[in-house]
Amino acid sequence: MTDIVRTPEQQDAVACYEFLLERYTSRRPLSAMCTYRFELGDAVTQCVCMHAAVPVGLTPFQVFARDDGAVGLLGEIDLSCQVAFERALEQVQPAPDDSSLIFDMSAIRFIDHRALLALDAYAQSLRCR
Amino acid sequence: MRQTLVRLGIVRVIGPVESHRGLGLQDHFCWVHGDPVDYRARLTDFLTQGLERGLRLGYAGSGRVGALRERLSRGSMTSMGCWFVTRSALSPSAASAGPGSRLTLRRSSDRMPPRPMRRWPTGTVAFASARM
Repeated sequence: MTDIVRTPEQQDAVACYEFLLERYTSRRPLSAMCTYRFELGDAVTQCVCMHAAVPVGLTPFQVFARDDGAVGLLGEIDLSCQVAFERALEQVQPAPDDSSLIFDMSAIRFIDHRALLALDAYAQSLRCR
Repeated sequence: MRQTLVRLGIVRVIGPVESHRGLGLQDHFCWVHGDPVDYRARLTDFLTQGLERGLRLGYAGSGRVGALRERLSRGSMTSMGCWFVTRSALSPSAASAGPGSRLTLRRSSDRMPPRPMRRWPTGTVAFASARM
C-alpha cells in the first residue's frame, strides 16, 4: 500500500478505503492484513488508525466499525493527535442503509474538549450533505 | 412462555495486538514493517493461515498483476489461485467515496480462483474470505 499513500490526497483516499474495508469486514467473512512501510513516517498513523486491530504503540487512537453500523472509537485523543483525528473523521461515512450514525465511545480512555468539538463539527457537516 | 433470543456473532479483535497470529475470519489488521524479509515472512504466515482454513485468497497492492505475482513468488509463495487487485483499483479516484458509498473492488485478474486446496504450497493471500 505504501506506493499509493505518498501525498496527503492519496492518504485521505486510502484512509477512506480502509474505513470502507473495515466496515465490510465487520459484517462479512473477510479477513485482511494491510501492510505499510515505516518510511511513511507520520502518514502511517492516518491509515493505521482506521483498522480494528493494530500493532502495539503505533497509533494513540483507532476508528473501527461495529457490526451494528456504529463507529467505535478507541484509545486516547488529545492535542497531540487532534489533526489526525479530524482527518480520520472526514473519511467516515454513514453506512448506505443507515439514516443515522452512532459513535460508540465506550472504549475511549481519554478524549479532550477539542476532539469533542471536532465530533460536533463532523455531525453538523453531515447534516449539510 | 417467554422466549429468550440468543444472538451468536463473531468476535472481532479490536485494539492493539502483538501479532497477526490467531486473527479470526472478520478481522482487519494493519502491520507496519521495516524490511522486505519481515514483510514476506508475515505475509506468508498470514496467507498460510488462510489456506489452512480453506479460504479463498486475494492479494492487493500497487503494480500490475505480473508484479504482484512476482512479489509473491519472491516470498517462496505461489500465486496459484490468487485473486489480484492492482493499483488502478486502489487509486484515489477509486477510493474516494461520498455518502452512501459501498466498498467495491475491481478484479484485475479475470480468473476467479477455486477454493484453495491443502496440497498447494503455502501462501497467496492478503485477503482471506469465505466468499469474495
